[in-house]
Amino acid sequence: MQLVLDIIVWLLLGLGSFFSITAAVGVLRFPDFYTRLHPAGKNDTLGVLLFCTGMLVDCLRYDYSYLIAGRLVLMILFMLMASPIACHAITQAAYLDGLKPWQKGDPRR
Amino acid sequence: MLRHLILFAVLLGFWAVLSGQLDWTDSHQRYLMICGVVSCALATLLSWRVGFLEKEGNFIRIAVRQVPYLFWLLWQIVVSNWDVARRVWSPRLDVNPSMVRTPYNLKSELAVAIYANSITLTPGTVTVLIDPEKREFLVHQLSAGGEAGLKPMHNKVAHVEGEGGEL
Repeated sequence: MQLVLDIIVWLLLGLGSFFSITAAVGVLRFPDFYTRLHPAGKNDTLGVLLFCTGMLVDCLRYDYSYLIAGRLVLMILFMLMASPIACHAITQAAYLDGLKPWQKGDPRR
Repeated sequence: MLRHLILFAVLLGFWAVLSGQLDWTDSHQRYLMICGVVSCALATLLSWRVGFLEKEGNFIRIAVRQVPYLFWLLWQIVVSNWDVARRVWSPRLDVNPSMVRTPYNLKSELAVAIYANSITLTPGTVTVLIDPEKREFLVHQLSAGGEAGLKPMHNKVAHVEGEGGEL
């Protein structure tokens, strides 16, 4: 049982790292500001969600503290709300400032 | 009134989880607990004065009905992440972005915020602009056809809210 939980924790942490790295690579590879926000807004959210879930399982497994588990749940909910709002705020600012979106065939910016 | 009592209870619970010092016999912890109750009461009082909660629609119903929606949304987040990750790692960089306008028919600001957040989190779309006068969103999508999934999502949010009409 402990081994299974260990594997679940490592799986969650590994997947979280994968999506966080994907977000970083996507920000570097995508052609303009708006497209870059897709990996930054989505993959980062899932990455942090997976990290927090992994830590949650780990925390409950060793019976550290229900308080820490509660804080992790709050963190997950907060990330779920805050990350898209930040993403929207920055996109809206760019759009109102008149930044033109990249279209297929344009040079990279 | 009931809304403000609920807000007060939620704030107290939030404080209790974050602080974790709930030993009434210890004088320092007692001081912290009293501080918590006072600041929660102050925050509730201020939000009552400003009138935040009046604009939010039936947020109790939204909070209850949101639970199944949240699980559906989590699955959508996984799908969307897989989609973006595939585009990021594909050697040809398979993106063809465009902007589309999509209407919405929701009453409360809370439901509009839920819908806008959901659009940002789901496959290939990011909310750019909310236009409350024309009642539509401007959405940036990674590839053509991303807006196909928006209508069913809008109807799910409309059901969660319980007031707005379907699209």
